[in-house]
Amino acid sequence: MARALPFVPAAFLLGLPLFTADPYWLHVLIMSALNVSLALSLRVLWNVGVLSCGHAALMGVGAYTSAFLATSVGVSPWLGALTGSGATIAVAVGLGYLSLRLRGIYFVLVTFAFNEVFFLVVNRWRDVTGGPSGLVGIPRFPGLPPGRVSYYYLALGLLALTVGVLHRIERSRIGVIWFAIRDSDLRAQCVGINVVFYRVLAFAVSAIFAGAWGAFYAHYVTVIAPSDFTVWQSVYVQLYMIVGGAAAFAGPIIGGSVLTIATELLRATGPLVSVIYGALLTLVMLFLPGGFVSLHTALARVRWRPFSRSTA
Amino acid sequence: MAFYLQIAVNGAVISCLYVLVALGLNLILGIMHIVNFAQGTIFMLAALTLFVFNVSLGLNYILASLLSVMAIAVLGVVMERLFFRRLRGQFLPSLVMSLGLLLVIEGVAWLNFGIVSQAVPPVFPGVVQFLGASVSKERLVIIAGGLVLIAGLFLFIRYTRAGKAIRAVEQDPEGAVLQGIDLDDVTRLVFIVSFVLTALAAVLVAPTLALDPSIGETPLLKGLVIIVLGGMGSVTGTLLGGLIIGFTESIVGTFYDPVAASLVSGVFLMAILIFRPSGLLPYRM
Repeated sequence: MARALPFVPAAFLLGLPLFTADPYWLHVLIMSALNVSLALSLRVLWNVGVLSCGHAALMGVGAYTSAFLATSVGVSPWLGALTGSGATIAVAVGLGYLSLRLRGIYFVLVTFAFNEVFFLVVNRWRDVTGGPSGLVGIPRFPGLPPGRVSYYYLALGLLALTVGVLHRIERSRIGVIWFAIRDSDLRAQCVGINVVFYRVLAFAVSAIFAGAWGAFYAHYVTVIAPSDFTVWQSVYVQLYMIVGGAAAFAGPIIGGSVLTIATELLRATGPLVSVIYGALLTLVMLFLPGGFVSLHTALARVRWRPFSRSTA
Repeated sequence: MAFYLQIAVNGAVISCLYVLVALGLNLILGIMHIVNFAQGTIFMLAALTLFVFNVSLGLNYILASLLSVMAIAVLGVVMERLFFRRLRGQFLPSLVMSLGLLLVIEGVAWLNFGIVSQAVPPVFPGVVQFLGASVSKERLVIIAGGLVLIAGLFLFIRYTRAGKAIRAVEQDPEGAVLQGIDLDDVTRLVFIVSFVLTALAAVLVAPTLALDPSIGETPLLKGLVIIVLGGMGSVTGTLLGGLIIGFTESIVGTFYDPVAASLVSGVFLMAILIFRPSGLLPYRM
């Protein structure tokens, strides 16, 4: 029964365009798929015990590579998306090899700086990236039927691939090694695990999906600019993951979809949306540190005293 | 000569501003093991309350600054008690929470302050001619004020009883508690000192800025770069890091452009983190 559970929302999402063809809501769902996938792929790094602030930049590497190849060289977007993912892996392996000896705040800040440097580079390298105004007129994926429904199904397919692959890896031998490293990298090293190699591997896996979704994004919205890939976008991806609950595979899925849809519903309220968003985050961190997925255990806790004095 | 003096004065002004914000961040980091991403919004709030007191209510600059700094000190107490104390030492949850607070505070500021940039009138108008360069008095006041504040903080941490308690908690919280130091008192004090430093930096430089709710972001980012560059928890490291970033920005910004300056400091930061993660002058107990 529990195994069949994922098929209910899957069937619902597959059948949805039969009932509504409202392009706005299809767009919201496509963006949800994007955010869920980004949060899930960020969680791969979380599984080895590090937090990255550079996920939007990795997505940007995929987006810009594919978009540049399509607009200036004339490469097919399908091939471009593959190349973009490959380029993202190369960047992640390079950066990861240098920096994944670091942990905690140091890795957060390296990736933070990486995202800033990426942002500044695409702002200045006008010949390739179009500078601050970005690349426009990026072709759509050829061969897809026109309209948004085809992109909706493409996003669903890519989402299914992301979820399937990441779930499979997590349950494999590699996933077990990742969790061992997260729990204690020293102990993992003592039993003969090459900690840096497996961390870099996690970074690469995380990057493939960031790059692929970046390319998807570029060929979907057809206009990309540096402001799409700022460090604040990376922070939002972290929020999807953490508010949903990073400890469980379902966490980023819930966080990414709920928060994306909530953001859209609140968009008309202007700056108020960021206030609500921020308040939600603050409250979740204070009272529900395990994220949305831990809601049932938090409610089940009998002696739950949120206003008790801290003991340090 | 005059040209280089100009660059040096600019570098010193930028360094003072960033060092003050970075010292505030570093204090909280050292005591609570929390990176407070909301520190930039404190800077912004101080500048905007100064604007409200000074321009909207027509108080004079000194009085308006005092009121603004006091308001921020109270805010520090409230935020520490309601939010940060509960997540002491929990690095990631507190980081995410401070991002949440950043969104709330900045959003509220946008709702109330509007999107039009405002300005506080200059307090010390005019320029000083010095070695052929004309330097605005405002900038000299910022440099002097910044130096006084930095020296004041240094003396406070080094020589007062409260400063000693802060250092004790920084070195070993449990040991400090065993000596009878109240941890909650120390964290409250650290938040007050940190917020007041940031607020003073804000009221000092506010007359030279176009004020809007996003002005806190740059000092926050530069402050983070500086504490990493200098070494976390290290006051002298923060000074050195601040000078490096401030002068890099001034020199590269003059000869190329401000974006190139940020790029240079970003690459600098990555290189430091990768090859010397403890910073240039690591903190030693």
